[in-house]
Amino acid sequence: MNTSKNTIKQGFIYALYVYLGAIIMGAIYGMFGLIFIGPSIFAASLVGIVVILNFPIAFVIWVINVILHMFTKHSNVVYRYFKYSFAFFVLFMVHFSIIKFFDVKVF
Amino acid sequence: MANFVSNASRHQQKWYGKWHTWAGLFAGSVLLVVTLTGALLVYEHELDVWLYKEHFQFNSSEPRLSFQSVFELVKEQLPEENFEGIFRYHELNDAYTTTYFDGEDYQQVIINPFSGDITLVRVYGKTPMGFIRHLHRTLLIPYWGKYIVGVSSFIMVILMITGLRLWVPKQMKNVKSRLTVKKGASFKRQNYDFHNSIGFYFSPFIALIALTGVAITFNRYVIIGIFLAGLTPPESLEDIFGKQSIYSESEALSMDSVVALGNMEIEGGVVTSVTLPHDSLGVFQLGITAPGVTKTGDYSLISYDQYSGARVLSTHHDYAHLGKMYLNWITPMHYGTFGGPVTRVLALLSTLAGTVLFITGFIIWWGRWKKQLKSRSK
Repeated sequence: MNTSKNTIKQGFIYALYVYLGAIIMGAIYGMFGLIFIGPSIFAASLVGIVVILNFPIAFVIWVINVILHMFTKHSNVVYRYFKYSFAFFVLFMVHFSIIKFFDVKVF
Repeated sequence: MANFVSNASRHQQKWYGKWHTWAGLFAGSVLLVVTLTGALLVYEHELDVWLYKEHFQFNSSEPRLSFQSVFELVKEQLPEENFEGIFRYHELNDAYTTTYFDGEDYQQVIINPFSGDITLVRVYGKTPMGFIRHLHRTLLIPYWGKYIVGVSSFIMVILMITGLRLWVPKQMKNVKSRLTVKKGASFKRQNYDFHNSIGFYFSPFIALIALTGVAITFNRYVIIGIFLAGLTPPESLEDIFGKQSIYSESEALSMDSVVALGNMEIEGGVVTSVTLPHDSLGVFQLGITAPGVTKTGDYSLISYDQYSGARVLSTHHDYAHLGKMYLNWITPMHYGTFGGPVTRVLALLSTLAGTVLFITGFIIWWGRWKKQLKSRSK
């Protein structure tokens, strides 16, 4: 049985995979231009923008699903989608917060 | 039709396999056009200069004219037109260009940077490279075309992710077979190996080129996302670039005095474009390129009050972190220009690899689908 806590934990693991994947992809592309850090952080940030834009959509769908839940019509897939989106959102907001508060100038 | 829909991805056992098949079939034909035209657009300006070479040959024995001088000389040659500004294109043999609207189309004017003579007036969209750009961006479909391309590019990203998951062999000893094409094998096997290996090697580049393509298409939403990521309230493009001058009875500044302000703004920066105020409340907008992390440089947009010369907007100062991410990285990474000639060649090969992946992928699917139909009819 997949509990709510487990789903969020799983979401963080997926988010970490995606984050590391983006960093590696950026580094490989940048390597051919002898630039490493910039493309890696850019790739992760671009994926992060998509994640951030996805979160409000996931939230709205989750709210609709919660309302439907009151009338017994609901989807577990939606709950899972929201929990994954939440995990992705938190991880990438940490990334953006580090850029902002530590004044990381890589772009 | 219903049968086709239900059977199309049945050969795939896992959900990511089904997604990969469906996404490929759905977006494949669009991506075929987009990748082929994209390959040509990596060298858009070079091809454009080559196609119109007689109009881009300039005698450089004289000193280069200033923005103001060029503007005055062009105004003498085309006195009736209202020009948007003067732009300097390094990629177009360092030519100056300007544009004006003639009531039907936007006309692009190519100007000799040393004499100020107009060498060509054209509608860029009607040139071969302009047509290819239009096809790449919109598929020649008004309004919805660009969204079809944007969504297909996003599907390309999904194809790369699901493709990589499908690429991972069940046993590590089979990794080598996924990285090479088996010599002497049947066409079917070689096609499968080719799809796997090309997909693996080019996945980082194709994924990033596709994702930057999505960002270019949906730039309004991406800009909102950038503001949210920067933990600041979002501003629309109209808010950012809709800044106005404070009206004064005095005369507006000359183009060259605004360029002088711009040249002092960023260390090592060179003004590459000047957009004129559109009315008595408009502002001068300067494009400035300075040395930066990428080979294309650190690009900034700075606006000045047309009367006082006060700075009313600077992407360099006001949006230092994520604003620079947008201006310095998205387009250069899409075209591969950020890292110089090598990454450009890589971008070209990656777009062609996208075409190859669609064709080889379709052949794989077609064979399996036919086999599936045959086994059902028995």
